Amino acid sequence: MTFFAPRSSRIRRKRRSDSDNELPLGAKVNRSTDHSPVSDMLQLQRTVGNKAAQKLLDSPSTDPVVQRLTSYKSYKKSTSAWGKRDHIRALDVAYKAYMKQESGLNGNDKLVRLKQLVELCDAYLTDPTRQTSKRRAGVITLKQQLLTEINKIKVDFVGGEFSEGNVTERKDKVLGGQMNKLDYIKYSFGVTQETDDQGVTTDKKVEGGELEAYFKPQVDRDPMVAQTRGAPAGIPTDNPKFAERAVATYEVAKLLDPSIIPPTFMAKHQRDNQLVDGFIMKKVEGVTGSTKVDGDYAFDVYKNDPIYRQQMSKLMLLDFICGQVDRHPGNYMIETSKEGKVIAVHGIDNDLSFGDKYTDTTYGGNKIGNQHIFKNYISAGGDVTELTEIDRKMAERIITLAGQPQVLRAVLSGLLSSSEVDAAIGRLLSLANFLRPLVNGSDQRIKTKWE
Amino acid sequence: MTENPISAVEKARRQFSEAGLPFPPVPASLAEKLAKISDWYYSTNPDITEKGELALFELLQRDTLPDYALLAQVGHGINSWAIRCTIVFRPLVLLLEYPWGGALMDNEYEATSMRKRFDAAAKLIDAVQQARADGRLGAHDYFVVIDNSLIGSQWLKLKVPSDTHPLKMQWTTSDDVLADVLTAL
Repeated sequence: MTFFAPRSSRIRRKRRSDSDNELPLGAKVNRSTDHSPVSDMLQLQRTVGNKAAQKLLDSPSTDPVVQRLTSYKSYKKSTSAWGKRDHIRALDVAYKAYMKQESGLNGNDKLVRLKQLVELCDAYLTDPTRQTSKRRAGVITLKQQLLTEINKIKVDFVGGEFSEGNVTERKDKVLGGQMNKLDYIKYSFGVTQETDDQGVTTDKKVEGGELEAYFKPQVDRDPMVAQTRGAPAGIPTDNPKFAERAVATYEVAKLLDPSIIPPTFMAKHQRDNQLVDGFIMKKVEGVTGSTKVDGDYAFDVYKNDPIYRQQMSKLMLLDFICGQVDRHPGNYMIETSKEGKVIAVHGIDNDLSFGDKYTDTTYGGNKIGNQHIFKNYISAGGDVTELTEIDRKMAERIITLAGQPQVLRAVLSGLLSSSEVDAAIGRLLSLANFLRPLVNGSDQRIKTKWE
Repeated sequence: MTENPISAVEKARRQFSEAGLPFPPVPASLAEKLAKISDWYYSTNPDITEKGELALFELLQRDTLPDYALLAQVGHGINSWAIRCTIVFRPLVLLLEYPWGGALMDNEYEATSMRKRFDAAAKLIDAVQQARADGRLGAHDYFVVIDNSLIGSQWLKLKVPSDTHPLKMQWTTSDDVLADVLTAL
């Protein structure tokens, strides 16, 4: 199977004619540039981040962000000069898109997008051919505004900064019964410290905040994998690499919509007097789909809520790419406002994913008896062809990502085996093939507005 | 004087009891063959256990599935945990899985629900044996019952050996599968 499919001219045309701003994260960067595939990838990696580069995400924030950026019109004026805007078009497109969509973005998405814009400013400002451009002053001003805006947004999580020394509270092995030996930890992030010549800390400031999270140790062997749908998916009993699978899921979510998976990253944590490998997942608020709410299961209570349906649609699509085989009502969290409205849905327990046996989305049609791998607890349900509601923006992002499978490969390669990465790309391409005619043909299942 | 070593089934009973869980209705002849493989993992035949459910169905299809029992806590992550109980007691294959042990579950509620399901399963085991004894079930008949509150419940009656893989056959879904099979006997 060839995973490096050529870019579709249909997609290229669509990009030009579309409102062009529904596309995700890093993918947008390449739209109006003619970079080589390699530089495209590097640019995307810089922008959307690979696992080592970008650990700066959060669940949706309801805090309004006051508009402090200049309008798109003012920006255009400040960067006007004689000649075509070819060199600045990527920034134009991205900034216009951001200004148009900003009010609908959650805090996390804003942060990601703002950082993309800063990257684009930097790309312009460091371009050797643009060093004397009259547009530079306007770009510099915009970059300053963007940085200010980033700092204004409340960021309560910076992954990758986890350090045992910054743990402020811990409860070891208290959650989840006998085998589920999770540690609850609360730790400070954004910590700066000064040390003397001997390396002793002399001053320590917490400029970020505190994060609540769970730590899950890595396991070398889990014979019970054989009793799950992970085994036929290709997840081994020995060295099942659950941590890597969970982190990989978040990494893919970052490419598409980071709000649907809580920040998850590899970590070392002190337990039983030794530093052990595992992963940390941010604690998210809410109830699981299987929680009883006023006597009914939460997935039934919220099944008609538009945000629930939209988020579940996104989660299902992500799950297909990730080869998730265990999305049940107990492993997604429904976050609600004080008024009881759904704010977000987050997929947790993403360890049973990325097996290498399922190389396209038909795996969703696998059944045990009559039961699909994905049961109809959720809006989509069943095989991919049975999706009843599909979020347009997510679908478009997936199609775009499928045009650049090397991005997915770059993100996953450090975590998964080559056969697992190949399988993930296969599922991505398969899903995009399914979605493309629906998106282009205005299929009824494609939802732009959720109501 | 040395004490007799505690049997695996006794260890399992204690472990379940200390966790506030009912003990699964493992027939005595299987219970005495249980071995403790690791924490929360008891099996009469770890080879079958670790080959997985698909292998179990293949053995069933060929009519080479021995009587067998597995008791375990299975799962992953924060909240995807369950008690798995597999009982193969010819002519019945029971695959029971009930949520318990997740960090975000109401584990007390789940334990209460599990007790009701185990009680119903015990009645079904007896009833199937009776049906076999009085000739209502033939020598090659099997009932396969999956009772899984997370992915759904269903049952199948089949003759083995079979040309068709059991998972390709037409199963009957049910909200109360244990009661429905009892009725179908």
